[in-house]
Amino acid sequence: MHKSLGKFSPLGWRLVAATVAVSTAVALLATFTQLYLDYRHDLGAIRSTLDQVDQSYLPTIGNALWATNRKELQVALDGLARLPDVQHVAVMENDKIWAQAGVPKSQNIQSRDYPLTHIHRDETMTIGSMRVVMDMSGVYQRLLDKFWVILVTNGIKTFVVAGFMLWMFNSLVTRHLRRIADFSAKLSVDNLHEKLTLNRPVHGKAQLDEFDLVLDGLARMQSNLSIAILTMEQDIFKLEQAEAEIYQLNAALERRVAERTAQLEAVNRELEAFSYSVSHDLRTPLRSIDGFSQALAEDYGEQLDDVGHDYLNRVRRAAQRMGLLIDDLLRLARITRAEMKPVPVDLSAMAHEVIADLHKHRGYSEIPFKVQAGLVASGDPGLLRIMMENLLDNAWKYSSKIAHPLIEVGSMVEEGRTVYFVRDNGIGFDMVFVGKLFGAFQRLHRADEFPGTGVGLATVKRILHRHGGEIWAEGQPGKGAIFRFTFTN
Amino acid sequence: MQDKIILLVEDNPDDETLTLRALSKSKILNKIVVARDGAEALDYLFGTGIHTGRDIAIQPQLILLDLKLPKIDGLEVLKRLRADPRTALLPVTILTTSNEERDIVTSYQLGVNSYVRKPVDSDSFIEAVRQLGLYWMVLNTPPNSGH
Repeated sequence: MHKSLGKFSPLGWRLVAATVAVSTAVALLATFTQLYLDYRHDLGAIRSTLDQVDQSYLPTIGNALWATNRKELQVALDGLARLPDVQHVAVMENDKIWAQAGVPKSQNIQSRDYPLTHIHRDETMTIGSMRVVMDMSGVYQRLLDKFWVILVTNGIKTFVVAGFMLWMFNSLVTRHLRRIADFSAKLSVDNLHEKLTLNRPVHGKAQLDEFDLVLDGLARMQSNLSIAILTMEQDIFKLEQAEAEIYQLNAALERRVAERTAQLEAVNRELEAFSYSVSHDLRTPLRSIDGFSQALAEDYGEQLDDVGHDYLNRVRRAAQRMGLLIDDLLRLARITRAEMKPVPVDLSAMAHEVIADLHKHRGYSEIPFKVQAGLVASGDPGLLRIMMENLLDNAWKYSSKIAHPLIEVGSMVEEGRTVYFVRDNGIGFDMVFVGKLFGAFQRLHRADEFPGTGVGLATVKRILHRHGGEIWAEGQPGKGAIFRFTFTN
Repeated sequence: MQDKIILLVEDNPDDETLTLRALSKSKILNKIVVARDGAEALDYLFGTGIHTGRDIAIQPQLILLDLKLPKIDGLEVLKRLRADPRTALLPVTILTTSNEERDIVTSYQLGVNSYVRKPVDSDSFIEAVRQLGLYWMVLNTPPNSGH
């Protein structure tokens, strides 16, 4: 913000006011000193006049009084009265004025009494006294006159000097300060290279002054600012470039995401169409194979021997197994696509339901179960049910052939997260094969030992992945297996 | 018993043979008309095309309808016969290989009476056909049986 001061220069006026005050004070002090000295000098002159009276006039006046020569006495007194500043002279005998000269006054006086003596027969006798009164008005008048002269001349001198100083200060300092202030106020990025010049007579290096320092400092500041602005502009340019790059990258990324999404959607549609056709078209011939094998066995069975019947049975079993494989494969594919609606699920209750179902519908023999109460997880109930079915079916299947089976379902806290587990003490597995455990159609046992398609654990893994969780297994041949799983990492 | 007709809409000759065999093994001796695509089924029901002149007062007591059919698919056949007052009330059972949820839901939305998936295991298949025949041809009372 630039404030205009007009022609008024507060700095100049402050300087002048200070100078006038100090100068006046000093002048007054000097004047009073001078006046005091003059006063002392005048007082000295009066005193020396009075001393002179003592030496020069007293004998004459004493003799005249002794001789009672009134005429001579009067002449002497008149002569005395004519001395400068002597106002009144009186000779007194026993407080009675015997003779006098001049006119007595009462103000501004200085008087001295002199004893009048006469030596008669070596005896000093006091014969009267004389009073000389000196007039001080002259002295005071002179002092007053001098005071006025000094005051007036000093005043004039002070004001002349002050005016001159104001003019000098303005021409030497303030106008340049104003110019610098204007220049600084108008300084901006656009005119940063403009050079400030002051309207001053050209002077050599020997006469450099503070303004040259200010000009030099300002020029340096301008050049430093230029450099800083240049650096900043470069930085801004770089930033803008980076921003543009990010924008382009983002746009490219978005394009790619859109492309990928479209591709994924296309793949999904294809997969759906594929699943549909697998479900329909692959099963149709299987039904013919099984159906006509059965028709053959039933309608033309008497023409076949036992081996022929065995072959036909094998054909049927293979067709039925392929039907199961297709169904499991479709189920696995469906889990990947299924919509998820996560809600809190009571896993303990779910485990009990699944156990009851397995027992009832799969005809599994009764096996002791231990299910921890209050197991709760957030997930899609349908998918979690499939997961629980597969895990418990698995545990049950591989514990069915041992003497004292026990299946446990529970949870523990590991590294701050809840880890659920399903544990059995069944036939277990060799950790060498742990990598095959969760692969689709991967089996560690022959189908005639333990039935199954090898899709169950792959399904479980996929369900947990869809919930952001994971599953891992530990086992030991003959000692059992534990499957641990989490929902969100 | 002889008037009670079953219309089997099936394009696959193997499935046709197996279904007919399952029906005969289940002692269901009704007349069975086979249509090998959706268009032929509609022609039979409405007396058009190759079935022009057929007395359409005589309608099947049960339609066994496959979904995947040439020309006009099963869902479309279902939609058209439910839209026509002459055939709107006919009992229709979908007998198909598909167990896609959306097929099941769409079928019921279109007013199917029953949805049966053909099992691969032929014992189960024969049992399913037997139960279907027994239920729809013997137990069930259709709407036009009052006269």
